[in-house]
Amino acid sequence: MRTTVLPSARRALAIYAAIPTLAFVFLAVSSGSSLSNFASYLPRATVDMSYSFTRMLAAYALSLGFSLAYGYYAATHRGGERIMIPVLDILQSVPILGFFPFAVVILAAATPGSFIGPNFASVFLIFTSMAWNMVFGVYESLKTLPGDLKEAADTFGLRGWLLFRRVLYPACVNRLVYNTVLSWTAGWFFLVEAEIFTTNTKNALQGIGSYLSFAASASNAAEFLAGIVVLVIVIALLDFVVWRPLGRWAERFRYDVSPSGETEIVAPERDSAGRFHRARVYVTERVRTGVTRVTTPLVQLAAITVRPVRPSSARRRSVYYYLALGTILVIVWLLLIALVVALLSVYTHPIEPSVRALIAQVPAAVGASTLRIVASYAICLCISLPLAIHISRSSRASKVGLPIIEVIASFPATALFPVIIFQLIPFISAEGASILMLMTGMMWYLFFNILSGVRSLPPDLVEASRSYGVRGWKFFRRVLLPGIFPALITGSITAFGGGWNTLIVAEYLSVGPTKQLSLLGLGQLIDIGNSLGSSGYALMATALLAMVGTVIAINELIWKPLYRRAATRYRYD
Amino acid sequence: MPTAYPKASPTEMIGLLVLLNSHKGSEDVALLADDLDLEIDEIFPALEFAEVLKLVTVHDGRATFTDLGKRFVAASIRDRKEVVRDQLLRTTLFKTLMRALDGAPDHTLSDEQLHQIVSLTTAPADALVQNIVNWGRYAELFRYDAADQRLIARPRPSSRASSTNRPPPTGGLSGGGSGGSGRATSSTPRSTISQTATASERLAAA
Amino acid sequence: MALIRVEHLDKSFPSRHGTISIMQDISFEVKDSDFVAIVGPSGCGKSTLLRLIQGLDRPTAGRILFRGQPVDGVARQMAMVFQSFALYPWLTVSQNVAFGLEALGWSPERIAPQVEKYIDVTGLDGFQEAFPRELSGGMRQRVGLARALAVEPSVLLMDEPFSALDALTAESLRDEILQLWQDPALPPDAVILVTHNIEEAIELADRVLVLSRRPGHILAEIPIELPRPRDRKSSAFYDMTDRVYSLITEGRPTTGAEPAGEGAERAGQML
Repeated sequence: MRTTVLPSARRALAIYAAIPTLAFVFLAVSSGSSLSNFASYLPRATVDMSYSFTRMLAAYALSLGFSLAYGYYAATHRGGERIMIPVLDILQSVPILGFFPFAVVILAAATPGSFIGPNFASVFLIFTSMAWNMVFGVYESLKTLPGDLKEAADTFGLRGWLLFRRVLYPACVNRLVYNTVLSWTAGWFFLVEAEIFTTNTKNALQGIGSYLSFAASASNAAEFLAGIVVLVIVIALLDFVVWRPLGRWAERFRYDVSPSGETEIVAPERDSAGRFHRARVYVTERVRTGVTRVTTPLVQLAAITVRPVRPSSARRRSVYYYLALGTILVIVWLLLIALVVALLSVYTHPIEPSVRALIAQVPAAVGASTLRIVASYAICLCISLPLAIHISRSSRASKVGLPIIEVIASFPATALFPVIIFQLIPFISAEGASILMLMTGMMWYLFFNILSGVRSLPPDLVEASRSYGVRGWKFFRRVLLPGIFPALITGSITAFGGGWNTLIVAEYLSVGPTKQLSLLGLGQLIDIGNSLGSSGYALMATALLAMVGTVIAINELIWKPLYRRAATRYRYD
Repeated sequence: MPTAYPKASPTEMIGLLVLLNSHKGSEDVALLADDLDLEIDEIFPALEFAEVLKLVTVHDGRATFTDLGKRFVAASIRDRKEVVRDQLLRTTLFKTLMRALDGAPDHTLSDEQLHQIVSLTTAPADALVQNIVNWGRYAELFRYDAADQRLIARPRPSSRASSTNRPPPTGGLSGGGSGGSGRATSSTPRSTISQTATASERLAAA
Repeated sequence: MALIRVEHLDKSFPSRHGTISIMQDISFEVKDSDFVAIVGPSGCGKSTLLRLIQGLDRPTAGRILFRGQPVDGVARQMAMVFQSFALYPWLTVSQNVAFGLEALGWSPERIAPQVEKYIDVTGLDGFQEAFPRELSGGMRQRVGLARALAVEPSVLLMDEPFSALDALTAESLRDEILQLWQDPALPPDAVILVTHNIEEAIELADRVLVLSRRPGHILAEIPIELPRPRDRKSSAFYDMTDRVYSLITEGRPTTGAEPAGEGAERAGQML
């Protein structure tokens, strides 16, 4: 019963320290220069970091407010739920990062010469990487709030602000904290990616991502190292000073629900290791149910419009209810208007013949990009499957390996993109570089899901196969694979989601800075569209719509049937 | 007295005494268990704790109230608590524990110290520490900070008779204080007790 | 005037296979200082009845009067003790006990002594800062009880309050409930206890309402006139238990049982 926080914390600290050390060795060897002057770059890296951090904070504050309001409304109002949850399902399955170049261009054009446009675009982008899973955290916490706790609040007549403060908000805290940690991880990834992207445009954002990008393009290893050091320090500080204490505090808010829907108070978990893993698996579970549901949103939307209005109950609504409702409606409304206006203005302009020819390349580009993602997926699978199996079956490997992997997974791999772009392309070609970058966006979803699948394999099934002498390939095919199949599908769905999110920027960056290479794909088309100015909007919009269509088609035609099969055939209770 | 501290909650022990009372204060342990459709080993921990607190004696498989035990079941919820406190303070374990708590510079004991002390008087300690903590809290001998796993001494007013609305938490070693001076105990059919003696003595004298 | 008067209560739920009737034509009265137990086989709608009485749910037909006024919405003069305790795991014992008082809009200065008082009478002293997960089942239900008593309700509703507890713990809590009930300085004015445990009902209550299988209706209303504390070994107690038991298993009133409540008849005449 003694706490195991200390050793795992020390190990995590060591791993945090190892990242810059490894970077140091790598950079020292590859650049051949002494890096002794890296400290002189620290002040500037710190200043740039503070810009990035401010963006993160702003995006997080937005996400938190949004998730509480949206989740609360969706969970407590049937009508709202029927539109809001499908909308969220679509939003989270659409690779929003792909829209970023478009958003920067549009917003920069809307606010010429101002920093507001790109900053707003980047904060909004980070918001989209943070908000969805937090919304679902709130929504599901409230939906699964045990019936007896709801009833107890009813019997004592709690309502309005008091009900929120004493019952509803605490019920969300535990998941909200876990999902916050995960949101920040995703946020860093997107932040760095967004900043790197802007360094190629006229509207460079000051921040740690652009700092790293400039350092790498100037082949200044010492400068680059300073940036990595600052980034690691901030992430480690957040982990130790904020996330870990927060996670321990949030344990107080944990409860389970018994099969009959009543509270089951659980003792706090002493070991906070693995919380990250748990949150990640939870979120991917969410995504999966979202994907399986996404088919019918249009039907549901239609249903809602013809749904007869229910006579409203006499219950008094509090002012917060209207506040939340208003906020949500305004946000959704603004987004819809922005989207419609943008699309209208793009397609009502006459399209030049040269652009028309480029638009004709979109189908081929979709194919090329899809192949790239599939290739990257295959590589990730080849790495993560054996790795996950090994880690889950050896307690030593899991004790040492898992914390390492968790720390690495929490580090935004995008920070290393500049190195890939500027140092590795000569060796692995633009194609290789784009696949490598894609892998960083796909790997962990796959790994953590497979891991949880292997771990939840019933031990008696493993025992039985051992007693019958089933082993090796046969064991893999007959026991392991069917056993982890649902988890594997879930992981694949989320990995593809991550892949699409990374795709545009990965392809774009692989050719972007040097412009000498050509890499057929959606990223390239968007880059060209970007360089064409306003006449390129139609190209960019078409490419993006094609991508969204592809994503939804793949979800519907491949993942959903597979998942259904997994749920029916490969289930064990 | 038995030195082993069985794992039973205060509520369970009181339940056992109530049960024994409905058997006229003396009954074969097996029949006692049978009455609640329990196995005999399911009532053992509670029974043993009642023995430790000298509320019950067990001879030849027959449990019988002591005088104190008889008065315990007749007493109010509040007064029962005080008997438990007095009796706990007569056990080696709680004597040691309270002495250590008083002697500690900040009047707190860490989880580790707590384990150490419990393992001095009982074995194995780990499974029992939470139970011991539970009893000590019930008897208002100390507070416990679950987050830090820390035992904390309760503030000890010199006299509880001066209290107004409800009796403040009483201090440990000297025992004593009144029961229910703020409650309308006088109108209850349960016993009301004089202000000076320890609860056990008061009950014994009643 | 009766404290609570239940008049011709029907409750049914729509389902895929037509309407399912939970209870039919339930009528009874609860007077001041009445301890009423409702027993019946599982699924007879005992718990639903309790929820209808507090106004957590609406009857399909019939009505409930509290001190002559129809119950419309949740009746705040009643407080519920739950089988599952329904404690908020993120609130301390004190905060859980204060829960209903906060909802009544009491000021913190007023809440604190009230909470202390009911923590004291339920024997929870020493656990004020504890979270529910640190407590044993018995202590948890004491918190549930203290929370209900703290709002000083006229009627205390208890929904199988001891059935989630082990036998010994239940034994001690029954004893303590009686102790609190017999203290005239403490609320409530009446108790309605729902239980499937016949002995428990006879041990605690002044009157036992026996419900039939679904759709539940009142088979008998049996006054328990044995002096407290009641000796479960006595032959009178045995006879009483036997009678209720055969009522439930045979599903019809045996000879000697009271008709289904004179209150029902009177209510009928009024309408």
